[in-house]
Amino acid sequence: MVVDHNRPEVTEPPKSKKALIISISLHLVVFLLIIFGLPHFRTEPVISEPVPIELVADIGEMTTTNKKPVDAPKPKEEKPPEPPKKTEEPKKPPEPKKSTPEPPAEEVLKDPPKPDKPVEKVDDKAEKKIEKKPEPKKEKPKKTEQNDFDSLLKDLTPTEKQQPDTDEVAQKMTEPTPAPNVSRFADTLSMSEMDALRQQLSQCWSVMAGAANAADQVVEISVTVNEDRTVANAKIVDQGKYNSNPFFRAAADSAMRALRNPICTPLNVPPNKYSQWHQMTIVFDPKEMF
Amino acid sequence: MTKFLYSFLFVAISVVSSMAHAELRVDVNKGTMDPIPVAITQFVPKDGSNDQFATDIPKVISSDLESTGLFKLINPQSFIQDAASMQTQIRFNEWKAINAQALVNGTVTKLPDGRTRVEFRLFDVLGQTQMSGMAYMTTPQNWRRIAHIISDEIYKRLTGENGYFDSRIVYVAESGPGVKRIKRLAIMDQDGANQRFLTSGQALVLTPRFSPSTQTITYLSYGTNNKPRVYIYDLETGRQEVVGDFPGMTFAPRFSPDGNKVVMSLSQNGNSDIYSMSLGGGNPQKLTNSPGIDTAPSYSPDGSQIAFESDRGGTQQLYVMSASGGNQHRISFGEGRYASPVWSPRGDLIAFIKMLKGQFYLGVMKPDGTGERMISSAYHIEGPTWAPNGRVIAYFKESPGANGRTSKVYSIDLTGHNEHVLKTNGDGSDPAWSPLNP
Repeated sequence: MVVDHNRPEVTEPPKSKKALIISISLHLVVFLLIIFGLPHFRTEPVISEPVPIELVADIGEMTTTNKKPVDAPKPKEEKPPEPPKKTEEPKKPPEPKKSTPEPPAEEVLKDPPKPDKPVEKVDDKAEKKIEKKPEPKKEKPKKTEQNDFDSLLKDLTPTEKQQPDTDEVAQKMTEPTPAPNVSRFADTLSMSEMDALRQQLSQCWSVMAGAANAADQVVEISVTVNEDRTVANAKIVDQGKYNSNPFFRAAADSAMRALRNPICTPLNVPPNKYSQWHQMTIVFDPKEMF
Repeated sequence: MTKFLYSFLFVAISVVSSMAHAELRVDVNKGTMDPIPVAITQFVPKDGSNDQFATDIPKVISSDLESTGLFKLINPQSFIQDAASMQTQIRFNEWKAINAQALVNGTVTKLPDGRTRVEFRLFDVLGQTQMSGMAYMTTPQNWRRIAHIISDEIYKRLTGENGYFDSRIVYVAESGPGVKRIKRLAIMDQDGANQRFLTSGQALVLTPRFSPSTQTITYLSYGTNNKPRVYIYDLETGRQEVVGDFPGMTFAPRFSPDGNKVVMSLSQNGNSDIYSMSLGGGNPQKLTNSPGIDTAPSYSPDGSQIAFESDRGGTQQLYVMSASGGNQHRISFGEGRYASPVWSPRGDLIAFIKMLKGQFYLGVMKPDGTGERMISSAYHIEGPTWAPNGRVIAYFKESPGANGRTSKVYSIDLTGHNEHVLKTNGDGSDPAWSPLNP
């Protein structure tokens, strides 16, 4: 018992001394690491061939760009209608201005130090359209579906029927069709007034004809219009689809571009019926073109 | 009576109230096919990076987008804002003034490790928002791929469809006079850059087809012993090998969507039938068994069906069957003869060649045979192949010339618009589009 009890004390070094040695060694190692750095265990990664292209980042929006318009199609946006960016004075009556409109490029060049300031642009063409409203084409015979299909998707099949030439096709594509689906309140705007607006927007709307399921991409946009007939706020109604379906998103963006297109600004609506068109839903539906 | 009055009043108020809240609804049913006006600026070189890239990358992007016919590039000379100042602020009104609807700018940065970082941003000019922004890093020699990948990203954001610019086309490069025509396998980027030959030209090669999922090509070669056989060629290793050892002639090969099988025709005793064969080994499976010529098989993108041509009904027509050979049914019923069906990667259309009244046509139809449209015609058209996004078709046209026939590779949008010649090394035929590069 005594021998057993004493043996460790004799044969093993004292614990405190051992700990001291370990501590000094470790400190020394740490000290050396601080001076010389980590040993070069890891080499730089060798890029294997073929050299991959690495997607580094999905870059967020620039913070320095101009402020976004109120009508950006984001789900979160429910901003109250602000004064439009490219308006004449909103309070003025929306009569066509007699002042000579300047070419857009010159207008911009005039005002380079204030890039955020909207360019004033008077679309005298659009104004004139209001003055002389196009006559309604109610009696015009409705074109067949097949003709519309031909106009977007070429078909060289030799048949008896004459293939429309390109100019004719372009003309046809921008012709308005009789309103197929006008609300019961449409009688407040005459057919010719509705047609004028449709015709105007159809000139600005570029249809993604060859896209998959292009005919099914019907885009509804809720639009608030200023008294001067500029778009104050436009919102894609189906935000869920906008955020989940890339085809719909592209179609919706295209429809939004049509609404914001300078050629379609201001909207071709009768100035004296503001109460009828200040809030409306515009449906871009390409089905009849296919 | 009072009850009646109350009811009448209630109905009247309801109607007036609902009418007061009715919103004007305008249906726009017509549009144009006008291309989207896009402005692409020079990229801004940063940290001593190669100025050449800053110029060349936007050039390739512009060329890619313009080649689709869906975008109209705005002349850089009309730009009001310079590229450098766009790094701090985009003056959208200046871009709107030159009728730009989309705007692309970017930067090129040389990194300390020698690699290059390329950033781009796509803006909606009319909406004054950023639509997309990405940054990529790679070695400088990959700059063209970076440009194509950026083009794909822009194309996808603006059209909703995947791009196809970062892809290649294999084709048969032809040279020499008619009787001593040399045909070699060649490969190029889809825009005609980086041309190179894959075979020496000693053996005649025909009908190359890209695997939809791997960097492998299958094709018909007469080999050095002048015996027609289906081969596969691995682009990464450069290895070629014969597919199967059949007693008769094998031809018209095409990969399954997963790249694990090849489906082809085997001709024996004047009868051609379609076989599928696993590239991992195993016996070939006979899929058709008709007395006529069954050939030109092409899988649907989900691998469940095969379109093919057959003269079993007396004339050359298009048929569809299940991948195991069942439910064989005819889908073409128009005038003329039909050949070379190729199923779109999107699955919604089958491209084909039609011969009618001495003229050749390139056409598309739905897999059930409806919606047939002819989108190009010529003295001789052959070899349709789809871009990986199923939007564009490449093919070749032959025409008789003073020194024998000439052959050019073309591409066209499936709408039938934007047909143009693709740049090949000499005459080109039998194009086959690759999947997107890995």
